[in-house]
Order: sequence, then structure tokens, then C-alpha cells
Amino acid sequence: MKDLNINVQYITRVEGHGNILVNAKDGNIEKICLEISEAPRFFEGFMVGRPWYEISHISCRICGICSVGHSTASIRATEEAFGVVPSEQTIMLRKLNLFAEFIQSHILHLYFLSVPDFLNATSAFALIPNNKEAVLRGLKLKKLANDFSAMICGRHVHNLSQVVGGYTKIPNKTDIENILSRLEGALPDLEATVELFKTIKIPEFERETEYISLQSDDEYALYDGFIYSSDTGRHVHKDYRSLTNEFCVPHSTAKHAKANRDSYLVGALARVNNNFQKLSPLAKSVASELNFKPPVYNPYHMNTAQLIETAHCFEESIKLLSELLKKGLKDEKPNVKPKAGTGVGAVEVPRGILYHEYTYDSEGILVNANCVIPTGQNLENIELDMKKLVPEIIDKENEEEITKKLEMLVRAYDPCISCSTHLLDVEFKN
Amino acid sequence: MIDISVIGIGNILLGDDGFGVHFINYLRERKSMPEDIALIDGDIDTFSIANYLSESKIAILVDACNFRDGPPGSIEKICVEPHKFKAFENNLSVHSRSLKDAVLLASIERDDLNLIIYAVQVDCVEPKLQLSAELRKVFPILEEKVLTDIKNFKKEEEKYEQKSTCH
Repeated sequence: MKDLNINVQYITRVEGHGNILVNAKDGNIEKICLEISEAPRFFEGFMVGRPWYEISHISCRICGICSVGHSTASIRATEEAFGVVPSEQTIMLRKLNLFAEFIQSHILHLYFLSVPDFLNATSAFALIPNNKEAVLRGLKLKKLANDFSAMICGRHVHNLSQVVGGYTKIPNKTDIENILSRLEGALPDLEATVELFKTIKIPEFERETEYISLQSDDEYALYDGFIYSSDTGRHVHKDYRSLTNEFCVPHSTAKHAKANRDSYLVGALARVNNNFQKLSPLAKSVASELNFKPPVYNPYHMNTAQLIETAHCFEESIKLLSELLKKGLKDEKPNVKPKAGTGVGAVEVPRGILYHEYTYDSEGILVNANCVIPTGQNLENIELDMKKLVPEIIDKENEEEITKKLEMLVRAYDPCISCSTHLLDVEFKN
Repeated sequence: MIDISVIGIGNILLGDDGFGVHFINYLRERKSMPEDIALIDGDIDTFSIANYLSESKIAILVDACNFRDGPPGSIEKICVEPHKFKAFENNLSVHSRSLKDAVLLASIERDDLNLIIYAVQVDCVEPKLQLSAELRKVFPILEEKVLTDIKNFKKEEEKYEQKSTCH
């Protein structure tokens, strides 16, 4: 019977800072937790009192990786509050925006944060001597996605032109043709990425949980749809609070969440499990090549699901950009009249479903805000995975191996810890 | 490929940390640089900075720095040899990547990076949008240094081209 004293401060190659703590005595687990020590960000607090046209520009600063996603959720919440209906062209551009962000984020995670684990390297830099080609490929794909994003919304981080009601500037034909051609030209790089992942051995582990994502009859839902729970089916987006039920735990500045069980999972694995049939043909063929048959209950396969989604976003972007070129772009001016009301924006971002809810007064000043971030929704699920995993391997593997598996597990979720740190309800007593 | 770029980096929400970006805006307003020089607001994204570096034949990078013993506004010129750069053993998080990582990433793509860094001693790094007065005074001095570098680069390039033609 083994003693364990694992204290990883901090987990490397994730966004933000989190610690893994495991204590076991004579094989009995005494403590397992994922400590989140980042300071809360207070975004919801300091958006209150600001006018409607500033909100998406402030809230997209919650994250440098999912800034398009935050901006989209924010804009959708404001549009719902004001009764604004965006044009078909605006919706197409927003979907392209999300595709670009998914490629950016998934490539970053797969090549620079996650792959080093599987190739026994400490970082992407340590891969250079033996896998320089793969690192260069990762850089090339990341740059393509950055340029794609900048083409649609002005710049690749903290976008400028995406606003409530539409776009202040639309991309021109030459820029669209250029990105389209580069996406088509990068398909062999995507194939090479799949080949790389075929050589990677994903740890064996399963824990079935509740999977929550958007779902739509029309497409693989990222921009719009019902909230879908693998346990209870479809729910309207306004019911998000009953499916998140945020709560505080002593060891985390980020809130945890649960829906119908003790925890649930959001992100690429939830989306692919819930909506596999709606994936593009290329994405389905990637899934087949990687022997991914949903539902998959192994959280380490979040990486595989991200690669499948990357293929989907590539193929759908090529399709949508070609359609835009065929239709031609019109210069539409956003037309928004603020009014009192409440709206909810539910959008898929790379790490899972994201909710923004806003209430405005009649002048369009924000009076209340609530943002529920994917990583926060996953934290309880990660801890329950850790609590199942450790007893399964404690007698088979040494402390170093257990530590690595735990780090890889947390990393598989691609947590954005800084984003998830959330306004805590603090009550001061005299 | 860009011939010569001037890249200012930093976080404009943190006072003097944003010096590089403010300097680029100053140069844009002044229109003092030759037209073929790319003036780039490099922000703080490591991957983007790596792209700007690898896409420039010659890059002049401007960043805020804390030498700890220098007076605010003092300028250090650093000629970089990328192969001597070593990334941190552990990359704590995407948020913790550094300029060193950007240079290293760029040098994976190109082993002939030509890079000068101007590091300017900060006075005050705290959440605010303005530069401190001492750092604003540095703009014209640094502008002159960058212009001199550009002239020297161009002279060298001309010499090289002449030699190539003779051969």
C-alpha cells in the first residue's frame, strides 16, 4: 500500500495557474483536488454601468484565446435584450469568426500544450531536435488561423469590427480569396497532423459523465442552438442557470458547476459526443482514422475530439468562404436602438459552452451581468475524474507516472484558468 | 517578406509597459520613417510577435524593460543572437510566455534572423493608460536611433547589391 504526496505548483502548459494536490496514506486517498489560485477578475462587476456598445469590447478581454467567442456571446446577449435580428451575412461572418478561433485555439493546444506530453518532451521547444517539422507545421497552421481571424474581424485577438447588429467593416474579396486558397493549401498539413496523432497513445481511462453542448437540427452547433444534455435532452438557452448551478468550493477562486449529476463535461468531447452526425465529411473521416467512435467516455480523448473539430472547421470554412464569394458581400451598417431588457447569449467556444446574460436599462446602460465560463463548468468534472483515476493506478504506477497522468488529464481539458476565475459572493460581517 | 520592420510591443493597459506600442503610434503620427518601413503594433501575443520577426529580413524591436538600476527612460541597445536564446525550462502557461520564447519560435522558422532590441527602462508599471512623463521624453531620442539603424542597414544593403552586380 502506497503513500502519495503529489503537489504540482503550477500545472504547466495550460492557460493560467492551477495546482494538483493528492495525498494518500497506506493506499487510502485522503485528499485529491485541483486548486485554482488565480485572483478573481471581476469583469461582471466593472461592465455594470457601461453603455451597450462598449460591452462586447470589454468582455472579449476576459480571454486572449477565446476573445471572439466572448465577443459573440456578449453581442448575442445584447441583441436579444434589444430585439436586434442580425442579417444572414452577419451570421455567416460570425460563424467564420468562430471557425477561425476554433482552429487557432485547438492548434495551439494540440501542438504546443498537449503533444509534448505524448512525445515525452517538457515543452514544444524540447520537440525541436527530433520533431522540428511538426513544430513548424503547428506554427504555420496557427498563423493561418490568426490571419483568418484578423481578416474577418480586424485583428486576431480582441477583435474590433464585430459589433452589436453586424460588422463595422467587412472583409474584401481579395482577402477572402487569399484565406480560402491558404486553407485549401493547408489541407495536407491537417492530414499530417492526423498522421501524427495516429502515432500517439492516449491513456486508458473511462468515466462516463453528463455531456452538455449546444445542439441544432441544421448544423454542428457552435453559434446557435438548444442547450443539449446527454442526460435530459434539449433545453432553451434561457434556462442555462438550471443547467449550470454554480457553486463555490474552498480551494478554488473559480466557481464549480453541476447540472443533473455531481458534475458535467463541456468542450470538444461533449460536442462531438452529442453532435457527431452533424460533423462535416472530412471530420467524420478523421474520427474514423483515429478510431474515435462516440460516445467516448475517456476525457484524454478531448485531444482527439479537438482534432476532429479542427477538420470540421477547415472544411466548413472553405465551404462558407466560397459561398460568401459567390453571393458577394454587401456593406451593411449596424442599426441598433437600445431598450430596457434582458438577453442571454449561448455560444460554443473552443473549451465548451459559454453563457453571457445581460440586463440593460432603457438608455442601454448595463445594470446586471453574468458570465459562465467553460473551464469553470469543467472543474468539478476534472476533480471527479482525478478521484476515479488515482485509485485505479495507485498500486500500478509510481508517483512520477501518476503525477504525469494527472497533469495530462487536466491538460486534456485545455483549461483556461484565468478566464474561469469568477466574482465570488463575499459577505462581510461586522 | 518585409525588408525592415519596427515592432513595438507591450501592454498599453499597464502604463509604461506599453511603451513599445506608444512609440509605434508616435512614429505613425510623425510620418518620419521611410515609406517602405513596416511599423507594427506587436501587442503582447508571443505567437504573433514570432510571426512578425520571422517575416522581417531585419527587425527592430522596441520593448519596455526593468534593468532595476537604470534611470527611467534610459535606453539599452541589444543585438540579438537567437541561437543563444534559451527558452524557460518550464513554460508555466500560455500567459507566461516571454519575448525570449517569441525570438526562439521565430528562429525555428528562420535561422538568419536579424534583430535589434531597444529596451527602455520603465518608471511605473501599473494599471493605467498613460506613459509616465520621463518615458514620453524618450520618443525623439529613440526615433533618431532607429532612423540611424535604418540608414545603416540600407547602406549595407546597397553595398551588398553593388558587390553582387560586380560579381
